[in-house]
Amino acid sequence: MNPKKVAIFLVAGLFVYLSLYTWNLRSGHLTRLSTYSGLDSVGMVLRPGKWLGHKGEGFVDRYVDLVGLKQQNEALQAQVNALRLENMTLRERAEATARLEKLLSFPPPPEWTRGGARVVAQRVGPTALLETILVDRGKSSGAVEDTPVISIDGVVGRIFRAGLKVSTVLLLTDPSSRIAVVGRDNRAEGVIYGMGAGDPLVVKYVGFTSSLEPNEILVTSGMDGVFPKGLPVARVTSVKREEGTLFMDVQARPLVDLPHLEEVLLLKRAAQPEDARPLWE
Amino acid sequence: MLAALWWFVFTVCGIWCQALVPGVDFFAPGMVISLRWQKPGVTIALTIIWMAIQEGAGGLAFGYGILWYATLFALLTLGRWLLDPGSLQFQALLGVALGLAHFLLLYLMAVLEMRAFPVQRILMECLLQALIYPVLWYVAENLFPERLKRHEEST
Repeated sequence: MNPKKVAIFLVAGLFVYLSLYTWNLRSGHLTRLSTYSGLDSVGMVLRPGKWLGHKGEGFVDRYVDLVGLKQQNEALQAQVNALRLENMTLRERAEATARLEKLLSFPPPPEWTRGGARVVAQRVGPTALLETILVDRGKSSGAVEDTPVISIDGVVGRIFRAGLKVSTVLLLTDPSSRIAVVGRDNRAEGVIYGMGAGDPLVVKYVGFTSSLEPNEILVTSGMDGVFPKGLPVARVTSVKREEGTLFMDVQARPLVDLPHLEEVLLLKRAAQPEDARPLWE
Repeated sequence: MLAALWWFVFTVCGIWCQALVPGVDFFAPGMVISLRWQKPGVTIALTIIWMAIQEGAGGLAFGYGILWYATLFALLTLGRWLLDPGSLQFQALLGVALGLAHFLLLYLMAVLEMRAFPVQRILMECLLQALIYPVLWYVAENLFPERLKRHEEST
């Protein structure tokens, strides 16, 4: 083959590729096209197998794994009783808070609806650079980009890319994940950064004079505009104060066992009329 | 019809394997087999489908798939001048080259999109890609129906 022709072919190919790449970065058409075709076809292939696996596990759990069921039942009953007692106390406090908020004319907090989704897969394919999972809910079920994803233990992440029937969820451990949080007890504010799978989360911008102790639970502050306020995110593992800095060095662990997630909940903000009441009558 | 069925099963198995072993491309041996035994049109159609799957399921903006399969095509074309593409030694060398290409391309895409690049994890994936590729090629090549090969050879 003529080397000159090869060189021309390579330069032309590179030019076409870079044009296509930059055009797609601006418009996102090709990414969207591959999401609707590739992501959904991956979901279509993986879902039946996952469904069968889930049914099989359920069968095993229900009929075979009956060892220690009585003891487990008693432990759960004790737990239910403790939770009922706690629930009763908290309900009183919640009602008192609602009465006070009404008295002080606070606008009602936004309401969120929940929808369940099954985890179809963890990272798939050679381009899975980000820490993600695939769930079996997409735009046809109302899931859109930045939809908060939680489990019963706490925050999982948010939807990064939504196909028609399948979505990619960016986990809170991914280095590009940021979640605004606040300490549940001492109310110290910060932002949780992911550091990669298996590594502790880093809480940045926690003021040097703030109060934050190890083992404190960090909950969403709602300041990022993505997550509702008050969802548990992580537990503080270490707090270091170094002289000459404005912020503390804080590390935390996610509350959710991310590698073993099977089901998640997607949150959707309910439509709410804007609060147009004047501040002072 | 048989070819369509074979490639469908290959793609479904590839998706499942990619879900079980993240970071590794299981379609690459398919492209090599298709280039060797099928018409160019079939290879192009299959590559477009696989590219859509890789790009859609991954977390990067569209672009990696084109470079990845173009690199594979270039390596195959270059390698054919020197070695027999049907030999396991050639495919093992190609696997090593693909492992290296995976690292470089992913690093390039991470830089372009300003994403974090987890070096250790990616190195492990490159190693897996280099090791899995020749095995998978050998298995797929031997499972590829003789009838389809003979048909393509005669035409």
